[in-house]
Amino acid sequence: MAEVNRAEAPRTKVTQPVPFRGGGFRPRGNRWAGVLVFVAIIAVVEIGLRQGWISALTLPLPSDVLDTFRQLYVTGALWDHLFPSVSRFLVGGALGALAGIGIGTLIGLFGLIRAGLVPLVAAIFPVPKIALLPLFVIWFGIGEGSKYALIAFGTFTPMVVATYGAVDNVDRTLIRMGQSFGLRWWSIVRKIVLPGAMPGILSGLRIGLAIAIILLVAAEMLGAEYGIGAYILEAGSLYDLERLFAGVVILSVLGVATSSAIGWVERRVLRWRA
Amino acid sequence: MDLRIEGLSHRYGDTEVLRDISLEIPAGRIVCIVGPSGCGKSTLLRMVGGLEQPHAGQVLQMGAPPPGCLNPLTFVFQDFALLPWRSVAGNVSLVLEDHGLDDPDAIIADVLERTRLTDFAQALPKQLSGGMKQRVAIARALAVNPAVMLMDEPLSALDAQTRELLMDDLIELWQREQFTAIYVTHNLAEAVRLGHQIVVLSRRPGAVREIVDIPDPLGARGAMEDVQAHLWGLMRDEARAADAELLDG
Ligand SMILES: Nc1ncnc2c1ncn2[C@@H]1O[C@H](COP(=O)(O)OP(=O)(O)OP(=O)(O)O)[C@@H](O)[C@H]1O
Ligand SMILES: [Mg+2]
Repeated sequence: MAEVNRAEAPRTKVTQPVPFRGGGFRPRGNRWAGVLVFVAIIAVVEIGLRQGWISALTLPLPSDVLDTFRQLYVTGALWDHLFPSVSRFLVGGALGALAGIGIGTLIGLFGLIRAGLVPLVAAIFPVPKIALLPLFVIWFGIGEGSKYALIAFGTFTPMVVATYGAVDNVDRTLIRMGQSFGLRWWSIVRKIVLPGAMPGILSGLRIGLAIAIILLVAAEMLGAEYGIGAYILEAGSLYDLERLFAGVVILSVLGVATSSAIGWVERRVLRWRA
Repeated sequence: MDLRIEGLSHRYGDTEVLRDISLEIPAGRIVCIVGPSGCGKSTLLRMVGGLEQPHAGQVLQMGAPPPGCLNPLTFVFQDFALLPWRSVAGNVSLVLEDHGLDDPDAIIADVLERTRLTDFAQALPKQLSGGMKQRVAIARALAVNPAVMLMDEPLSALDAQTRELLMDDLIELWQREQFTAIYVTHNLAEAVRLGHQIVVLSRRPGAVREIVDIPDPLGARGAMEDVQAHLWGLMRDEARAADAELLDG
């Protein structure tokens, strides 16, 4: 084939299918690929530790972590820690997300509110919210209130920014259309602006809830008897790596569960996207 | 309901866009507006529809809108402006929901039937061709039983064949029920097919250059090449001058 010279080419007339060059740039993989990565990493660590080419001091044996996990489950301690954490996450995250979507929508709709609040949001966005925990303790008490407030506050700022950006990006011609049909202001907001902003709001929610999990742990480390953060802190101070890792695994599972819940909502709510 | 535009002028900053436009739009007629790009046709239509306020002059509604009219001045947009998250029926329903009607479903069914979309009532816009999307937009406009339809290049996002078919649809709709319309277009063939009256605007600032009446009934017209040639003669010089201005500017 490589030796076909120019003079000969017109006579031989090689017939072959056109090579396929399309495809790609559209990531859509097998959902088991993710599971496989986890299994592979865990297997490598387990085998490495057993065979000695990973030092026993660096990592706990995955099977031991699993056993710790089993004990947690059997003794019921799992629920003692998981329940307070999940409820803090849900209450704080929901408060922050709703407030963020509300304020973000107002910023997106009203010039005066935008002018007044955008600098404020820009000022509080980069502040590590955990630094404000003492303040929240003074305001809302040492109990659940300060934890809800911290998590809500952490979710709030990215939600505000994501929401007003999404509202800004809603197709103006659709809003014009609504006005031209004499739709009421509230109808335009509810039926055109908010659905149009939904893709941006949901991707903001991914970030907001990830931050909520980080702050959940931080808040529980700084003052809680029960909760995954408290559990990890206690294990860490005893250098009990098995329990530490069991706690970390719970957090990862919480993260994966949140992300797939948002993915599920996206698939249902954003079915209209081309 | 007739419409009268009186001495309408407008400027954006230092740019004078429209100069002293006066027009009558009698009920039951289609008035086409043609003119070079950027002469202010869309601006004029937005002012007629009450989406923008002119600097001078006014737009008057004369007489009451027809009974059962929910939105006297109703737009049909060039880019359809359908809500992508609502089905065909949902997009029509959108403009009826604020009126507390007893039986919106009957209206929806009726307009979808008139635009031959009944089978697609539950489809999402992303599943429709361009021509169908514009038929949905027309169905939505018909649903509010408008006194005047304001159409800004409604067919220019479509291919030539679809445009022909939709023009036939529009003529058929008009023959069924004589709606009033202001129809902005770049396409002189469309203008002579659909217009009872063709208003030629000059280049920016847009002023009325000439008004051509076409008495022949809709649906029984040929290509009307003589009228098209006359219109093109009017527009060519304007278009050339406008083009040169853009190059200079
Ligand atoms: N909101 C606005 N602010 C400033 N200038 C504008 C605005 N809207 C339109 N213009 C200007 O006014 C002029 C007329 O615009 P318009 O869209 O009405 O023209 P048109 O006749 O519809 O053009 P086309 O044939 O390209 O659709 C243009 O020069 C445009 O740049
Ligand atoms: Mg225009």
